[in-house]
Amino acid sequence: MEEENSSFQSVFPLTQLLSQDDEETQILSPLTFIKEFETHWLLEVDLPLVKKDDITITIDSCNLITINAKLKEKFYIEKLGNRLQFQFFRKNISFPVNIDKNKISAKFSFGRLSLTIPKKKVGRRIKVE
Amino acid sequence: MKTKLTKNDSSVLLIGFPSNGLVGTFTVSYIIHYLNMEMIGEIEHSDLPPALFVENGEILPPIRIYKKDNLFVIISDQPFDPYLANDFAQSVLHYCKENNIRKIFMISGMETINRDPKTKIYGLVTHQTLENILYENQISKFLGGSIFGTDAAIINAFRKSNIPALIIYAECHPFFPDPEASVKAISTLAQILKIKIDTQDIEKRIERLRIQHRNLMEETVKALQQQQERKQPRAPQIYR
Repeated sequence: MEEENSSFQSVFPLTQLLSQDDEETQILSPLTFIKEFETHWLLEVDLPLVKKDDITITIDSCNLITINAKLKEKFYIEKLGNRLQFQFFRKNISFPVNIDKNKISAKFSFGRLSLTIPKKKVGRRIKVE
Repeated sequence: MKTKLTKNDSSVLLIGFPSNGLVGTFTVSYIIHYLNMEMIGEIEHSDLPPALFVENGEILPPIRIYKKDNLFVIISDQPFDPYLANDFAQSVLHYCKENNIRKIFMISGMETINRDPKTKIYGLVTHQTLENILYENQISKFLGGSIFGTDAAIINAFRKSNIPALIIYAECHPFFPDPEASVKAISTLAQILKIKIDTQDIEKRIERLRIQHRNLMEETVKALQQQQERKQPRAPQIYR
């Protein structure tokens, strides 16, 4: 479905691409938010126009998390008279070495993906004498 | 800041600018659209980055003033750094005095992580004369918390003046555009202003608005972080 026209747009600033958006591969860069807690990291990714089943999340040996998602409708942006078309979201985020890859969990609601990335417990207790 | 203004005897001003979840910007721009308001002026500042928007051949400055009947709206598409926030607030106050505006309603977002899908609305007033609006419209009073940046600059300017301000806070995601929260803010404003506003148009565009305004959200988060850093509470001298 194409984006419907609305005069509502005329009182808004024009839609702008993010520098990481890629017109050639039709990939948009989603907004992300990362917060560090004592026991885990919280990564939130804004994925509007996406269905849960169209999201894939992978992690490689270097702790690089990659999130790919397909839009349920094409998204168009006008740029200098050209109509650019986008169909995907993609984000790569590197995490430090001390994360517990096997315990990462993900939740998707209201178009927002939340990943909880537990930290590995390292070190030892030091006895006070 | 200089205001290019048209003299009028109107009485209510709505104000919205980029802040948490872009709630203020979404809300007032929808009201401008829905009520078909006319652009009557702009606010200029030499320190604002030079930027204009062109839409259907029309040049739109970043801080615009709209009007219809007794309702004024000031909207900014540009977030303010800590230095500009105070100048902006003083310009708005000056404009209100010049135009005999009797009260202002500011719409903003209240940072809430893991928020309930049912957006809650809170209200804060600078003068007791507006307290009854909260009660009549069953708006919970904002009882405690810190406010910084442009919100604080506006509140500060008006609480010291004789023009009362009501600040409507809608719970929202602070770092992602949250047009859903602004739907609730629009309904609340419509109730207060006793006008009918159909929110279907914005509701069907919620997901696209979230994609369209990623860039403005990024700029706003940077500006809010700058404002927050500047407003960190300082320890009393004796403890330094």
